[in-house]
Amino acid sequence: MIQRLKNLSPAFFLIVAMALLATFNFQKPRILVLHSYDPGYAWTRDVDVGLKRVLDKQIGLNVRWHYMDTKRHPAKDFRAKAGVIAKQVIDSWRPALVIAIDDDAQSYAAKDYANTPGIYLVFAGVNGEITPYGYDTAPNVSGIIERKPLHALKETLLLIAQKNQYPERLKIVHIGDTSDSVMADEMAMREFDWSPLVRLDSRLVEDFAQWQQAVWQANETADILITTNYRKLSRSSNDKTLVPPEEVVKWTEENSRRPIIGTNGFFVEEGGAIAVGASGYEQGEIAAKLAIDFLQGNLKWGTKRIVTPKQFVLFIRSKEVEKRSLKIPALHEAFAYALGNYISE
Amino acid sequence: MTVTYSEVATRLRLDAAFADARHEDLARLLTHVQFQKYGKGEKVVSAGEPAENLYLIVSGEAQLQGAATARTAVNDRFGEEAGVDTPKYLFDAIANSALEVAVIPRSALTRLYRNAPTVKDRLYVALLGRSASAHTAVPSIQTPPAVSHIKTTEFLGWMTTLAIPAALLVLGPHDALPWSSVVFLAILSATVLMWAFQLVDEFIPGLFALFAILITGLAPPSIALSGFTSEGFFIAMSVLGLGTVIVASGLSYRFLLFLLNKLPNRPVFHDLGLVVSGTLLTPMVPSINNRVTLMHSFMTDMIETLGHKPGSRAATRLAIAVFTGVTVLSAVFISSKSPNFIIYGMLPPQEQDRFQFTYWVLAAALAGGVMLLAYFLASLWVYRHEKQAALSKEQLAAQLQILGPMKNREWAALVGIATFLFGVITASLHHMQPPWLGMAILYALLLFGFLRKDEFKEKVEWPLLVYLASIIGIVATFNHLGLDHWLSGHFGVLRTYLGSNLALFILVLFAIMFLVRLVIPISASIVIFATALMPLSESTGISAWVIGFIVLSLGEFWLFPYQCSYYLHMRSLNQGKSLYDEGQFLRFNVLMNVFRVVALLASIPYWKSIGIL
Repeated sequence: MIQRLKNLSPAFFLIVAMALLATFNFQKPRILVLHSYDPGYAWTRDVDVGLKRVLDKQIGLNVRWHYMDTKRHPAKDFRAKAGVIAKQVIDSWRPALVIAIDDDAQSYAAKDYANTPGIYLVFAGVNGEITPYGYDTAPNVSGIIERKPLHALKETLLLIAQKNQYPERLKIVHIGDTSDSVMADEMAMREFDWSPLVRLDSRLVEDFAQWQQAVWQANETADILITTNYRKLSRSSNDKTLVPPEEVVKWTEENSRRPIIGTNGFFVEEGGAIAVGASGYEQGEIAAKLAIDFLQGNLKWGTKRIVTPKQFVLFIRSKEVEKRSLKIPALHEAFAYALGNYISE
Repeated sequence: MTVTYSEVATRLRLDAAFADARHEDLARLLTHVQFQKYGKGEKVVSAGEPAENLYLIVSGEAQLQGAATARTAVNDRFGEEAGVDTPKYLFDAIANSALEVAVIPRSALTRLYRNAPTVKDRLYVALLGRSASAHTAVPSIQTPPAVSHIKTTEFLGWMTTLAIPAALLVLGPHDALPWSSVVFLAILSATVLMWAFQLVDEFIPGLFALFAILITGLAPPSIALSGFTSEGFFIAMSVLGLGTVIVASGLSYRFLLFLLNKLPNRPVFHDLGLVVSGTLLTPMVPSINNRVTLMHSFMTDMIETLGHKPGSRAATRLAIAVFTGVTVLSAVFISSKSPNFIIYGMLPPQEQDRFQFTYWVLAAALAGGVMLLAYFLASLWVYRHEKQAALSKEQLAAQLQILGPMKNREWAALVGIATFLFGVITASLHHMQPPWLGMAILYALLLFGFLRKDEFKEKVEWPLLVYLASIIGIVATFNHLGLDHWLSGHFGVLRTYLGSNLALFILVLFAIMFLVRLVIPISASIVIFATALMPLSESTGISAWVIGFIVLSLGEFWLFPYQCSYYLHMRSLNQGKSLYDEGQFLRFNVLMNVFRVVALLASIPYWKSIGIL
């Protein structure tokens, strides 16, 4: 009898070990990070850095990443399909919490889980209002909204104007594509008090030919161009192929007689001179902190926390700046350098 | 009185010379046994004549003339010369009474020795015992020492492997690519050429690429060696371990016997039994060569048992069934061959999460189903006039009798399979990923000794794992250097078709791969095309798995034997005999290739319906 028990000891060990491992694994909170765009997109990369700064410090979390890739594939049917796949992932993996980043993730997937018991939603990168997603009334949603850092942009424009002896009533014009996020940015820019700067009517266009016309027109009417996004520009009204963003930026820098300032870091990565953008790091960090707060019980079901961003980041490409003989305030240069956003090649 | 298979089965199990043989091998040996009767005084064998058969006495007595052991009786044997390396009989054997013997040919014994070499030693000792007393020297066959000669094609291969990378370094696309990328392309070209010319074993060029990448510092170890920490590596290792137990325990053989014993005794069901067995082995034995080896021995047994003439249409039909069974679904199960793991390793992380075992099978199910259905219809039509032949159910029962009741190891293999499948299906409940589940099962098999240390060392195909890991590392380095984007920029037409007309993409890719496959082996072609085309997923929005699956399926296309390593392996197992009509086999294979393309085209609406496209 004792010998039989001895013989069974490895089996006993295995059963207990597997049961403990399964229990531990089962109890690990599952977080799904649902991105609208692809991991190669600069903004998404920054958000991921911010998320990992917080999540990597936590032990015992089961984190899975899903990228809907709608920036490179903006067609409506692709976005709808990406939403269906994202929902399949949520339904099959059944995370305790979904961190949904940027608008497509909300509108094509996450919003369907507002008010769903068992799943908590943390949003980030929402440019417009949260009401259309039903997040304002849902008891299971918190997050951080994304706003273009217009105050920082205005301060930067004023300093550049001062440093380069531009007219006091500097005329600015916003050009961009017609994506949802640009539309939301445009609304925010329209409501913002730009004085003493003068904001001209924005030019939101659908194809590259229209874009070129907008830039040529701005050469005559504006002092500085502001661009938010240009990824959804088709080649022409007949050819719906998207123009590579690098091509758009290269053409614009070569053909615009006025300096162009981007509102996203990718503008500089794609060849632009200077950008003042929302901080993806901040979006990621805050979203992750909200998630941890919920999992640790510091943020209760039914309690809503909506955070407004405070940070901005600066990007500079020295070669383009020098080409235009544009003088940048030294503090701005040092800031971009410190963040690793100063491209000197 | 007539000797029965059952009596021979008992006789084999009682014979001391066969004590170390696995029951599965004895059951297999039984299919080669013939029965003979001799009258008193009749000579069975003569000293000096070629020793072709071993004789087991089932009833009666025989006199061995010239030997110290002058008499043999029931439960003894003679003719051991056929079981060792002795070309001729040393003694006369004469029936001392009415004699009934079971005759085992030398070729069957040689096959038995692969798994039970001690049987040969025991027969040799028995023969020595007789000859020592009779002062008869036992001559042995001298094996000539192996001499390795480099063939002209190999020499040309090595010279090309030197010349092309050197040319790339000097004349490469220096304007379009940085120096580090050109150096990598030179290393990659040398690796691919070693594969293309089949200069060394498949895993060795991969190792070359890895150390060359690491020495030149083109990628850090975390990238170059990422294959060794990838999930694909651990799935493969676990499945190889489980597959070893399934095969070594005899479970797979028992299942095949059971299936043939239960199915109706008609050719179409013999085919079905072989195809189903091959199909069930497919996800559990992750090497087509190993599956071919397993099923080939059974095929030869069946050809003999059914009395088919070697090279006949009926024998060819069985050969096609065996080959189809072990190959037709090899792209459908992730664990069925090394290129599948490579494709899995190349998927973006979220597609890896999605296309685990069950979803991979689901996504590939229609293609697999079409291929199977097409095979059965084609087989029924091509062989519609074939005459009926029946297996000996008595022999099958005797073979199962030799195997005896299910052994602990077989139960362990069965429980391992069941646990793995159950674990994969219920992953959404326990959230254990298949690779780690597989490792847990591997651990359990090792813990309880069902997979022994020597088997873990020798039977788990470590070269295959090294090959797999090195390919993943090479592809990771390729992407690390940004070559994926550079290369995908050169596939304008294919990218356009991929984004707009997938059916046309399949047909165009089929045409290109057909030409490439004329010179480059299956695995290398799959790796090259997957590396080049899977990055197109990003720009077209088509699932990377779909592209990988198309490449996997089209990569298996072959017309001529030299194009298909596992067919060559099957042919080598024939040992130079024309077991089946190769021309007919190859013509049927052309049909299967056509079905492969049809299956892919038929999958397009299916993929759309389940949301993959």
